[in-house]
Amino acid sequence: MQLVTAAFYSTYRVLAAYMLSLAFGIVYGVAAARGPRREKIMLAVLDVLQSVPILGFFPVAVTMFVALFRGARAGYELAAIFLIFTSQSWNIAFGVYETIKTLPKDLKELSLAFNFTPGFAIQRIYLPAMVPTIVFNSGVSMANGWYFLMASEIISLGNRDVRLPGLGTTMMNYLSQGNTTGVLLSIGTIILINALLQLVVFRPLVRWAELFRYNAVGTAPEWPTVVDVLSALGRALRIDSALVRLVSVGERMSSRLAKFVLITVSVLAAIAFVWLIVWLLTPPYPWDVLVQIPAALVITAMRVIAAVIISVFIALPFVIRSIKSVETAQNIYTMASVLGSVPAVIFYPPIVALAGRENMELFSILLLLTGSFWYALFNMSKGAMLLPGSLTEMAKVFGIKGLMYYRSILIPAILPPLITGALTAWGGAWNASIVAEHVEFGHSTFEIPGIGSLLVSSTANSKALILVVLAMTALIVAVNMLFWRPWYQRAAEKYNLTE
Amino acid sequence: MALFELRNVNLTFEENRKKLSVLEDISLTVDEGEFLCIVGPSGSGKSTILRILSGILGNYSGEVLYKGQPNPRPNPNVSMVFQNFALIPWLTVQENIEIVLEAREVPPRQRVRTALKYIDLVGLDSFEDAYPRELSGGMKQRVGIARALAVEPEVLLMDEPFSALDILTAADLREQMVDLWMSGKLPLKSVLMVTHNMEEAVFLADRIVVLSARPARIIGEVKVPLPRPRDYRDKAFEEILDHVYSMVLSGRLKKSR
Ligand SMILES: Nc1ncnc2c1ncn2[C@@H]1O[C@H](COP(=O)(O)OP(=O)(O)OP(=O)(O)O)[C@@H](O)[C@H]1O
Ligand SMILES: [Mg+2]
Repeated sequence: MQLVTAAFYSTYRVLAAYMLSLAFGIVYGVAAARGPRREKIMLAVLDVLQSVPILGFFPVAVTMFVALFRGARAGYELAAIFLIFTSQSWNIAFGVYETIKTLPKDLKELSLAFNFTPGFAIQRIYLPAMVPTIVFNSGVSMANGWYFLMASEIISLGNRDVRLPGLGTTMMNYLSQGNTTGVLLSIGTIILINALLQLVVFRPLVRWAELFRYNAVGTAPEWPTVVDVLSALGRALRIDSALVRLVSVGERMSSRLAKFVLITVSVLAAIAFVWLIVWLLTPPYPWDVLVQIPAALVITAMRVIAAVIISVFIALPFVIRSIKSVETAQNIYTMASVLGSVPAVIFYPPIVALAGRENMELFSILLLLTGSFWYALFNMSKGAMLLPGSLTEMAKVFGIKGLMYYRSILIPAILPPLITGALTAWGGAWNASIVAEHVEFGHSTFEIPGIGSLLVSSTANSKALILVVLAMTALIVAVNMLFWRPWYQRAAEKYNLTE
Repeated sequence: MALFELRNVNLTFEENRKKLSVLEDISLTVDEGEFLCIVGPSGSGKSTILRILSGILGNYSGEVLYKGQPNPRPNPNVSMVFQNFALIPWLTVQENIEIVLEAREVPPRQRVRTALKYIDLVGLDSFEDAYPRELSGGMKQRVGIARALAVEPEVLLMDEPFSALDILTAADLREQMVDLWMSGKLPLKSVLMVTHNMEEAVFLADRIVVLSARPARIIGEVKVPLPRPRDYRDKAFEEILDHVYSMVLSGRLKKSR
């Protein structure tokens, strides 16, 4: 019974955060894609947000929300939803942005030539065109939300521990009681909920999303009942027109209200930033922590790089299979969404306790893998599914096989999505590293050196904590900008498949 | 009377900081009641002219008049058939037509009636509920034509409507286009079609305007005073075709000098 209420609470949190993510992702993505002047800066902001190790910033966010609500329960609740939101929304926003940027020119000209008003074009062309991306990225987003559930329900502030009712808390309680059946049952519940969601909602949606692909051939997919139900619900709640209005506002940032909001937010952010800098620059400096940062970053980076490479290699065979048939791709999507939702973080402490300190290095990389592999798999197979069939047919016709097929056709063709996969895996692994290096189980503590354990050990000193998180974020963003993005740009230009 | 009038229209695109002149001093008219074809080599700027007339593009210099007034953007009296059909993949044939009517705020009942009427007219009855992906190329272009006609424009713009089709389907659709044009069933006043196929132009047009390669300049124009339906093997047909050919060639010679 306890499990049922817990499941209810957790599901509500994940779904609420997901709805917010959808709204945010759509509005932000459209606004960024449709305004050449704000495009660059909005993208850069999104890039930074996506790279921020959420778990590292969570204590900061919780403090803010709790202060805002003067310690009321709603503050914690919002903080939890916010954490899940940050794990879900960025990739939806990116997906939406990309779809609009690559929207076929014909469709744009169609709406101009037949004088569609901007609102009409958004409602009837832009929003539907986003369906495939949104459905696909929802897979990662849902899995991610569940993955971070644990962290969001157990909130420690200084010496106070607040536990929100939910599966994460329940599981943690079972774990500390040593109740294995309870832990397994909770995991089972998470898997069950996700499997049901997949079966009833997302799998039919994935098939249906086929309909929205430009230049597809063959029989149209069936119109699933979920879509009817969801769209009836959406119409009843007036979600569609609200969304259109929201998007139109985001699109017309020049409208006075939007400008006002934008300016207020930027001013507040700037003030907060300056205040933060000033505070960081006032002595005393936490030198003892500062000198440890560089070495810690290097050690963790090595683990993260190992995790990224392994993720990409494990994902590759799945991706290759999903090129061959849409059916397989859809199955992989379902499997990945269900399995990716298992909060592996939970198993980690007992495993480390069993395996002992000497094997922790190895298991920490395994944990990083659970944080990075799903990203790699989702992004790579999404790219693979969108490959034009003519490419593989061409290879067949000319008898290109074996090593040559991989080297000259397959790898180049999936290089852009492969890079996206690696990039997101890189972010995911860093995030997981925060929990991977410091483990408390029962009365014993296990630790390996790295930025994650440094972060945990400096929670007492908030200045040190923020400096550690900032250093980590700076490194991730720098590598994104200097390495991943340029590489992606070059690959996308060279191996561009859309004409 | 001239429906459209272009006076000294120039257009330059800027790409990677390089200026690319596409239209140079284009002056032409589309008269009421005529079927006008613009022929020119690939990449010369034919589609660009249509984009200007339909109001998709506005960054030109010079004057574009519609019935003596500056061309409104968008111009509700024109409509367009696209080279690559430009059908919306998630809408059925009927919905693809209804959506452009809805954008013009036609009431729902009338939308259905008009859509069905034009689906019938292009011979697609019983395919109302098919999705574009389930249609052949020729059928897709019929939908494109039905959609363009459904808004009952005064001027129909067609951007190489038959070039993405196989020869037989294209010939078939061309003949149907002539039939439609001659039947007087349409509230249409003029058609402006763009093509690089000179035979097609002679088969369809009352008048042909020949463009040079990029930047597009007008080389000259040819009248086609032949009765319809026309026959490709007709002697007069061949003579006019030769004339158009030599005009295109002379344009190319002048370029290379
Ligand atoms: N938005 C744009 N930005 C930059 N250059 C453009 C743009 N649109 C068209 N061009 C250039 O203008 C030239 C004319 O293009 P246009 O599409 O009008 O040619 P076209 O005569 O219709 O060719 P085709 O027969 O191949 O359809 C081309 O060289 C093209 O590269
Ligand atoms: Mg063209």
